[in-house]
Amino acid sequence: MPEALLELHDLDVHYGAIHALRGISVRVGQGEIVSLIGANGAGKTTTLRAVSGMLRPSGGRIRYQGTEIAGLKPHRLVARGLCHAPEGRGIFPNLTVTENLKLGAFLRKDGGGIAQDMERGFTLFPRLRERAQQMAGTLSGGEQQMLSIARALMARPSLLLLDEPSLGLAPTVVETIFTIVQEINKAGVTILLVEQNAHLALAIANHGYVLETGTVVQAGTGEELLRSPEVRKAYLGE
Amino acid sequence: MSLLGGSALQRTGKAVRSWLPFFVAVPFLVLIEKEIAQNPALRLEYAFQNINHIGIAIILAVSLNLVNGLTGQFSIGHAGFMAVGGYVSAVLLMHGPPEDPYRIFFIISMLAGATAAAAAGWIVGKPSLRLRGDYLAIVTLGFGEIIRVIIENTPFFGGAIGLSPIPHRADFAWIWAMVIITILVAKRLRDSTHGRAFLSVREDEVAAEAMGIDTTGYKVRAFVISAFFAGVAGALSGAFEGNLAPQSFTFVRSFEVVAMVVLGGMGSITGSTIAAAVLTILPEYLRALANLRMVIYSVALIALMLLRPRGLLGTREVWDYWRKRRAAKRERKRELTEALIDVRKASIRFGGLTAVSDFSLQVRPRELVALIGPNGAGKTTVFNLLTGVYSPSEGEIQVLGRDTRGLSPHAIAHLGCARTFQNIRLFRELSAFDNVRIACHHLTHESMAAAVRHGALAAQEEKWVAERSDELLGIMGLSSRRDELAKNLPYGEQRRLEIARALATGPQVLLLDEPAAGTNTKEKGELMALIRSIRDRFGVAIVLIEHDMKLVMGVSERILVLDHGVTIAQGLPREIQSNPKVIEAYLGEKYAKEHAAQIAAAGGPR
Amino acid sequence: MIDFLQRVVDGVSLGAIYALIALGYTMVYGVLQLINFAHGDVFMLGAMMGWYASSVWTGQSRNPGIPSALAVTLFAMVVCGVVGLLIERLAYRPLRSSPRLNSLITAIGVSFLLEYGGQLVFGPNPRAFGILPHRPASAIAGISIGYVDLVTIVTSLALMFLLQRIVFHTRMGTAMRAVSFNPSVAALMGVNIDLVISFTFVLGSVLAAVAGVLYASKYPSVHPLMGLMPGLKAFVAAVLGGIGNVPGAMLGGLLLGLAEQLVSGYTSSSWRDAVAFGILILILLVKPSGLLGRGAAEKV
Repeated sequence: MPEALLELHDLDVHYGAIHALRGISVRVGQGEIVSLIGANGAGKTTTLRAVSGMLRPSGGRIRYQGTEIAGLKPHRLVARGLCHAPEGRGIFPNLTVTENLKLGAFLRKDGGGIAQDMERGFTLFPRLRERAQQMAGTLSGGEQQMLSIARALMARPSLLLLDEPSLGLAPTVVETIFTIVQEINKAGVTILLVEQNAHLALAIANHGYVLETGTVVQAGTGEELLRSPEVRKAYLGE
Repeated sequence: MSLLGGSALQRTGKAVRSWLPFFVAVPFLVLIEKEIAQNPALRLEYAFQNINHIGIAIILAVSLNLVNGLTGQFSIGHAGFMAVGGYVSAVLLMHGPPEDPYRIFFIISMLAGATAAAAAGWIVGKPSLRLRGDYLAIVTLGFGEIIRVIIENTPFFGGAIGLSPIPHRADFAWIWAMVIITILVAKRLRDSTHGRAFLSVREDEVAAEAMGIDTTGYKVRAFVISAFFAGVAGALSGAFEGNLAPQSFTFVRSFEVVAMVVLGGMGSITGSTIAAAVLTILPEYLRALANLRMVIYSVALIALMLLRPRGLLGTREVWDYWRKRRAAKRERKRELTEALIDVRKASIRFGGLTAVSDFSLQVRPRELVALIGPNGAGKTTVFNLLTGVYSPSEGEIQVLGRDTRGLSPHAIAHLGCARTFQNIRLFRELSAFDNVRIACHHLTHESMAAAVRHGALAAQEEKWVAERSDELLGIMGLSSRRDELAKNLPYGEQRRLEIARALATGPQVLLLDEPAAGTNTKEKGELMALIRSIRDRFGVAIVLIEHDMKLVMGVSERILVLDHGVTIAQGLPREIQSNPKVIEAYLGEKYAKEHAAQIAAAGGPR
Repeated sequence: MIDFLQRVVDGVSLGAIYALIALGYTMVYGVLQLINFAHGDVFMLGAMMGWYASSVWTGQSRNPGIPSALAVTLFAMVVCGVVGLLIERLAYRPLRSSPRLNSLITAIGVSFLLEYGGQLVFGPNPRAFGILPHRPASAIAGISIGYVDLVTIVTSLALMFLLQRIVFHTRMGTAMRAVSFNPSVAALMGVNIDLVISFTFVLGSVLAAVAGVLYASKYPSVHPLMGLMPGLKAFVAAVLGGIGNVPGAMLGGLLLGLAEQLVSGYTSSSWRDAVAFGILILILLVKPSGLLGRGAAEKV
């Protein structure tokens, strides 16, 4: 079992009076793809936000690269290789594709390395190269998702948090994106993925967790969960 | 005998009963004024001066609350309307009869001033109310200042020196009588279906429009009514103090009233009343500290915002602790056999981009039609065209027999076309019950005056709205959530509530925008059954935008496929499943392979 | 004609001051979507600090020299920068997740605090201000340009140029623009939001301080309530140019100054104040996003 890059212990998050996450524990090993699946409102996006610093947890611990990071602001975590491609893409519509990508490298100072990574991004997502000077707001949903991922990669993350990459995208595009996610993982980026599309999310995952109303109700390897009768019934439509 | 008997007498009796508080209070007010306020032996002039200032402040705060608190529009020009009312009334008084023992002339001048202020409210409101939040605040600030500058530069109004002497026609009794009227009117409005319409504008304008509420119309109405009472306050102020000067109507004055509304809690009439009293008295008690008092006032204001931003009472009222339930029924049906929706070759362009081109669709009563296609294909744009959010660049759109080009969304909702939203637009801070009740509003007929008068029609309609809403909540399985705030409901129930709300408008055709987004398979199955049962029970046609193929295939009778704004296929579900263009553009090769068996059997959904 | 050009020069001089103040409003609105009502009072503070430093410390208000003028201005800039920082930290930051209305009210409270506090500390009476040396007016093509006007125009242009460089060519400027587009996503890019917002406040306050010193040099009577009208008008200028848009604030300021001088020159000066509000209403009804602003549509 590879070493843990990220560990969540009994994590609690509140939105005002609403208890969104109730003591969840998740482990992401170095180099793995881990998927969190569950219905909407189960707490998947909340989990990612707590990890990337967008939300402050009300209890529990988050360990990244061996140190406690709960409550740290997002910009500190980006500096340590923890990047988040948020729900709904979060690209800047009034900037070009290239400008968006450059912003992803905001904290980096090595001009040469940045240029190299941008080239790598365009190779991974050829459609973005075609539209490099276009305003990001004119891209289709699928292209924006690609841009969001490419932009997160510009910070050379060790851990990439992907929030619902398939949301609102047509099935063909979703297939493409998930193939690329696997490629990125093979190149060395650990991935924590949150998805509604349970089938694809579990098919590419080393480990998976099933969330329901803020708690983990099942955990296992990707294959185990794909075979589990409860998961099949609830999320795979059997 | 029948003229005087029966219902006429009953109605008069009811009207009298509803204004009882006022009629009881008046003699007391007069008594207090004569015996205490104007009694030199008691030496209470200073105290009563403060009490009267408080009264005027209450009228200002409660009237501003109608706009800022209830309707959620940020206006900081209230002092300008007060000035208009005050000056018009003062000019009339100064040129009026020297004696006015029954205050008839005073009433006329006060009404004239208030009406002038209301007119000013209309002039300011009509063009400005389509602006959002901060911009509206700035415009009202600007208008308030312009009114003051105009007054300062007009010799007829006394210029910078002001008007004096104004005959002293108002004192304790008049001021506090008007306070009671203001509060009663505000309360009645707030508790009526019109009050809920105001609230819906505050909560979510787009959703309110879609539920048949004329949002701009309601904003203007709130503005005009609030300006009217500001005018009353101005007239009373002039007639009480004996003079008016433009320096009392600067934006600082407007800020002070805004502070009262915020301190008391936006939307709470009780809160505004208490806050008006506190914020008027506070500087007086701190007077001894001279300059320090205003510093303390500012610090207190800041501290308040930091520590208790919802104000003293939030949106609660004193009388919320008394609640009653009623029951009544009314039905409204229109049978149509022709096309409910008839779109012919509609196109819409945004700048250089053609979002939808040459779109045609006919929907017949009780049909279940689905609109599918990749993201950005134009599906929600089609919904927006149907519901009047956009106007087509070309082509015709007829909804329920009427050409809807140029109609605003609330008018189309009123015709009988209702919708839900992709991202759920419930009135989050309101209860499930209120969400549904608001959607019944456009079916009511009572006027605002009737609501204020507590007329018989208003009471009847309240009963009907309440029962209808309870019924709908019951059908959607939400009865136990009746009084929960919409934002606290779990996701699945929020979706059902949005559908219940759309049904409450009494539509003939229902547009559902991605109703299954974010639901798991179990919930999707329930949704499918729900959609069919809604069609069967309410007799509505349903048009559905969805990405989930299983749901679409399982529920639709007919499917349209859009890609890049163009309709690439239309037909029965099994035809669409096997259409090569559709498979290429949207479903993807993988889906085709997985469902090869189904396609081959061409069985289709049940 | 000479008359007209004279008024134009006066308008540009006044407009430059409006522009400097407007920049503070527009930058803060860009990153926080907050109308900082207290900004006009920071401008006042700049003037008061200039007066304080020059008359109480150096006692040089009779016929000061350039070095002392610079020192005094620097002092005003530092004080205002610190005050701007404190206001943001203490009054606005805690309310960042509250409804915008609350921040607006707090801003009004801070504004009152500065005004009444100023009256408490300095007394309400106006003070005489003089930190620039008395030099004769220059004459160009028959138009007389006062020394103060010359200094105002040159200084303002230099500062605006500097600001342009900061906003469009530095990392901090990029961060400011990213935050104005979408703060939570900017944070995910590694932008330190708190730092950016504090920086924006300090920058705006420093510009307002210089504006205060320049304004008081031209209209040499300073008192704690002097920030009300210029503040409000500078705000109108920011809206005119498109609130949140930096070049827009500069353009708006210039246009407003010109309009005010021309109108009050050719009609009566008592209608001067109405010009600003008239323009405000006009622009909000015709093009609310301002001359250079982009409208923000709501996604349905």
